Amino acid sequence: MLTVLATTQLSDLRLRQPVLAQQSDSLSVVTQRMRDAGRGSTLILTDDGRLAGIFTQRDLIKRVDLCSKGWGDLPVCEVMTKKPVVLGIGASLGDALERMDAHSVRSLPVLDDEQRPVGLVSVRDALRHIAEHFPQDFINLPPEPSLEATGLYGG
Amino acid sequence: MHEIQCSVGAFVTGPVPTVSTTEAVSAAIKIMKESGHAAVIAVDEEGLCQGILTERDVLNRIAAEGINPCSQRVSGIMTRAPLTLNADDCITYAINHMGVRGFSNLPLLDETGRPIGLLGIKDVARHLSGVFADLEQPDTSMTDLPEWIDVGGG
Repeated sequence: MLTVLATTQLSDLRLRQPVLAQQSDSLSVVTQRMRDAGRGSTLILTDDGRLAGIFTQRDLIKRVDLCSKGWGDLPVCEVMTKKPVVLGIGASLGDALERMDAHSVRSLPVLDDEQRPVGLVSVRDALRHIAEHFPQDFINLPPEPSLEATGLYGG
Repeated sequence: MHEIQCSVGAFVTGPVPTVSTTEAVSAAIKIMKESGHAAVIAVDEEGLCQGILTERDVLNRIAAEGINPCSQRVSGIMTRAPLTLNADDCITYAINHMGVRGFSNLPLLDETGRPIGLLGIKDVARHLSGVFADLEQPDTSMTDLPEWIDVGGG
């Protein structure tokens, strides 16, 4: 069963629609869009719809001085990650986890055969998929670890 | 499933990222930036865990609101009484909290309620990546194969 999970194609996962932005969009607009969508990353597109970069909450921490005046007016292209690590839609769940670990990232843009972004796969998507396939191990748990049964009960 | 199971204490490495609840959010951001952690555990004057402040909190409650982190205290935006785990707890709980309930960072506490580590979603992803990679390795443990027995033809 684990092998089946590892080879699950990304096209079979419930990938969430990513937040999108243009390179010239300001950081204040992009961060508000991310907050409203409940997402931690945004795909930045070129004028012809191809992937120009990705901006994540991690980039916000690393590259933006939130104490400085006017940071919100900066165009997102100045702080985004250009040429991010990506995956093709034909890749597997195992490929996704391996690539995220190798590059120390938590989400990857997914591209179609024409190199256009069609979604975003995150570590959370992978964990949710695994949990849903093993509900008895990952979903049907006691509220706290301390409440787990340590032996057999009953008559 | 036993291939995935392990104690979360195995992921406790390096200094624990903590910040006082009375410090400015900018101090927490500096710790996240320098340590590489995606969150900081907020502690009181006795070192007890009081909350957690994450990158997502900085995005949603500071940046998107246009608030200056130098003038906002950690206690003002942290998540109080976060879900936590102990070192002996199984990673299945972490996968549940992260994959199903949406938490990306879990403080690990000792029996006194003091932080001993911070489990991030990347730690869990690295573990699963290793488990899946091991599945692809051929089983070379069978060295005592039975002798070939010729039973002849029919």
